[in-house]
Amino acid sequence: MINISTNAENKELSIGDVESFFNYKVTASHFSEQDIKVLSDIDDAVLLDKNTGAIQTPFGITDITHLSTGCKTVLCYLYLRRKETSSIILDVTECGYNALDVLFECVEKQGDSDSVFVLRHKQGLIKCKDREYTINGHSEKNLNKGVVLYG
Amino acid sequence: MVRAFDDHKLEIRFHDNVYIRLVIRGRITQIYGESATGKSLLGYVIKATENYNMNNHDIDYDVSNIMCIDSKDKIDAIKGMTGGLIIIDRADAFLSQEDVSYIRNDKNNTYLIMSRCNLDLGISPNYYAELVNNDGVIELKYEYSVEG
Repeated sequence: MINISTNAENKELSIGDVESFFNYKVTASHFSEQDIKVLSDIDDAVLLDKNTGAIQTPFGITDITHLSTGCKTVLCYLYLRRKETSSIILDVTECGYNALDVLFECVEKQGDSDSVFVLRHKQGLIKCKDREYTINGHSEKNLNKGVVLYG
Repeated sequence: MVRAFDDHKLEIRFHDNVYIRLVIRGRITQIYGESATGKSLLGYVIKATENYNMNNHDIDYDVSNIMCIDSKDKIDAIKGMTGGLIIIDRADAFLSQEDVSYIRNDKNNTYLIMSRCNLDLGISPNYYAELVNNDGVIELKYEYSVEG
């Protein structure tokens, strides 16, 4: 079950700004196989060097600070899980549906039913694979078949 | 030197790997869609090209009429721009209602706004687009083309 909130009000986010957090805190040196798969699944990127964070992307060789924001968001989630952060509340509004799908697969693999994901563009879920969600406290499934979401 | 943005077209080649060719329909275009399609890359390429020019490398493109904004602390800079292209990346993260109101009323510039949320920009569905990679060329794909 994936917990979604469509509103960030009255929520203390684990990360204020994903881009800044990722660029200052996350390094490739601790990347697991799961992190490396996330790079590949979302950005079609390959980690070349764990020490420098160099990556090969379809647009050339760069470093992990130039990953997409969606990819960084998923990597931040995995980072927080490694740090055993309790009750992760993460704003995933900047994720496209492809990144959301990868994120939710990670959440399911981790058996994490406590984290809450703030998503202000609800349409993103409709394009995701079918899974069960709790949206603003209401249980929802079959969203990819076009069910009206609670606002 | 070639103007990268001219007459509703943005065309820029960056090294051998990146070729951006955008046909911009209206004054405001909202770009949404999947992650990793090149939204932030677009801003990076403009900035990188600008820096090359400042460093007197071989100059191919004039990007002086393009402004890239990716954080709240830079947004006020749009008020000094006229007749240019303003690219706002990560608009979901920092654009306020006041900023949106300014953009709606700014008739002097063209805007590309990266956002997945409805920002109340006052644009018709014809001006919502995704970035797509067509055989190595990054282009805008408009969702709708409906005559009014």
